[in-house]
Formats: sequence, structure tokens, C-alpha cells
Amino acid sequence: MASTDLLAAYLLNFSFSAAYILSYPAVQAASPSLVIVLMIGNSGAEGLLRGDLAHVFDDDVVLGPRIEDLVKGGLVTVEGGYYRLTSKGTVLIRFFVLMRYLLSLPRGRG
Amino acid sequence: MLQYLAALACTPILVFVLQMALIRILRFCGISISNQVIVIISALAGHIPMGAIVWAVYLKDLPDVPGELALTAIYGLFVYEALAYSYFHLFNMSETARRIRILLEIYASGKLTASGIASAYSASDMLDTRIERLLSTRQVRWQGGRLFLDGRLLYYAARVIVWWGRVLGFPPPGNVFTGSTTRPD
Repeated sequence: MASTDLLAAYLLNFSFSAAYILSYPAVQAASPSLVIVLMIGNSGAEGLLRGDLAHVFDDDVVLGPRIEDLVKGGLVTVEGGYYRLTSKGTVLIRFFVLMRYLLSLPRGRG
Repeated sequence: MLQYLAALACTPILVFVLQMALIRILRFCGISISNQVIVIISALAGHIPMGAIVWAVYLKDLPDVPGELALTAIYGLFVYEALAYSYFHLFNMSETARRIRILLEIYASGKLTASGIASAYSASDMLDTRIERLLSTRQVRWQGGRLFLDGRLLYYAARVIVWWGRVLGFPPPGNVFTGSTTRPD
């Protein structure tokens, strides 16, 4: 097998792996948008009030676990009750800040 | 062959450049479209320049062997779609991810307490942002003060993701938010 064939196999493997890995957070972190759509979809002809959704999402379940994820992932440290970015977290967030700057977009709203 | 692979590997850069151009063109024309829809349009539009590039650098010179051109083009299409889809998710992280928004708030402030994070980015803000986004992408609609499903694409995608989560052993996402079971991580 030629080296370019191996490179082609690697590129295919890389691209499919990247697609899988980047889809994974929506499964792992229970994307709120998907939960909202499912709740509205499952309500059928009745529909839902905003308040029906609001009581499901509070700060403890929406933010708390995600902050824990960031600490566990080494992106954030907690000292004396204050959260600070680690160097890894700073590099990551600067990448996204640069990306949105080049796209001429304001910061993402989350 | 190497040039063909290099061109395909540049897919995210191509989509990014097209997205930059499209954002500026739409802004100049005063047209407002969801940022996520702009990425999808950029990825779809990217088939044309990518197709032209890979044809010029490799496909046009392929030997006249039955099936060779079709199989090589299908390979390229798979790689393009997977990398464009990956770029879409990468951009989406900057647009919608809670973790990225929390990192941004901490980055902007230097340091924050948990209550500081919650006051900068509350659950209520998160909900309103998502409803607004779903309305702008026509996945849901307001009618008589209630929310109804409009488009079905995201609903079916959500069902696939719930199924996928079950296969991996995660609890149903609704349970994560209502706290009726423990979180997966």
C-alpha cells in the first residue's frame, strides 16, 4: 500500500472521528435545546407555556454540572470560592474569541 | 493524490472563509439570518469550490478505469461532509455551548464565584436565548402564548440523540434536568 493510501485512510478516519467526538457533548451533557424541542414536540396539540419549561431549568441543573465539568476537565480551578481559568482554559477560550473576531460576530450567548 | 488529500483536509478552512464572506455580505444587504443557518449555507456552498479544486488537482487526471472516478469522488464527498459537519459543531460550541459561555464569563472577569457566574448567565437567560434561537430557525412557533413544534428536523435529531444516549447508558435528558435520576458524569 502506498503512503498516500495510508494518508487517505488516516484522513477518512480522522474526519469521521472528529464528527463523532464533536457530536458527543450533546449526548453527554443533555443539550437544553434538544430537551426543549423534545418537551414541546411531546406536548403535541396542547403546546407548552414558557413557564412549563422554566420550572425544569434552574441554575443548579443548568450551570452547576457544567462548572463541575470544567473543573474536572482542567479548564477551570477553584480557589477560595473563586473560579479562574487554567492556562488550558485560557488557550481554549482565546481560540473561540479569535474565531468569532475573524467572523465579525459578537461573543456567543450560550 | 497528495494535493487531493490536502485540499479535502482544508474543508474547515474553506467553510470558515465562506462563512466570513457570507456574514459580511448579509450584513451589508441588511439581511438577518441565524448564525447556525449561515454555517449550513456556507458548508453547502463549499461543495462548488471544493469540487472545482479537487477536479483540477486530481480527479481530471485519473486513469480511465471503470468506477475509479466515482469511488474517488465518493471518498472525497465523505471526507468533506464529515469535516464540514465537524466545523459546524465547533462553531456551534462558540455560539451555544454553556461551558464556553461560562469560560467566557470567567475570562472576561478574571475570576468569578458560582453566584457571579449565575448572575452573568442565568438559567432564565439560557432558556430565553434557546427559545429565540428555535423560533428564528423555525423549529418551534408561538401561538396563543404557547409554544408548538414547527419544523421537525431538530425534533427528530433530538430523538436520535436520546436513543444514542440510551445506547451509551446515559439517562434520558429530561431526567437530567428534572433530577429524577443521577447525572451520567
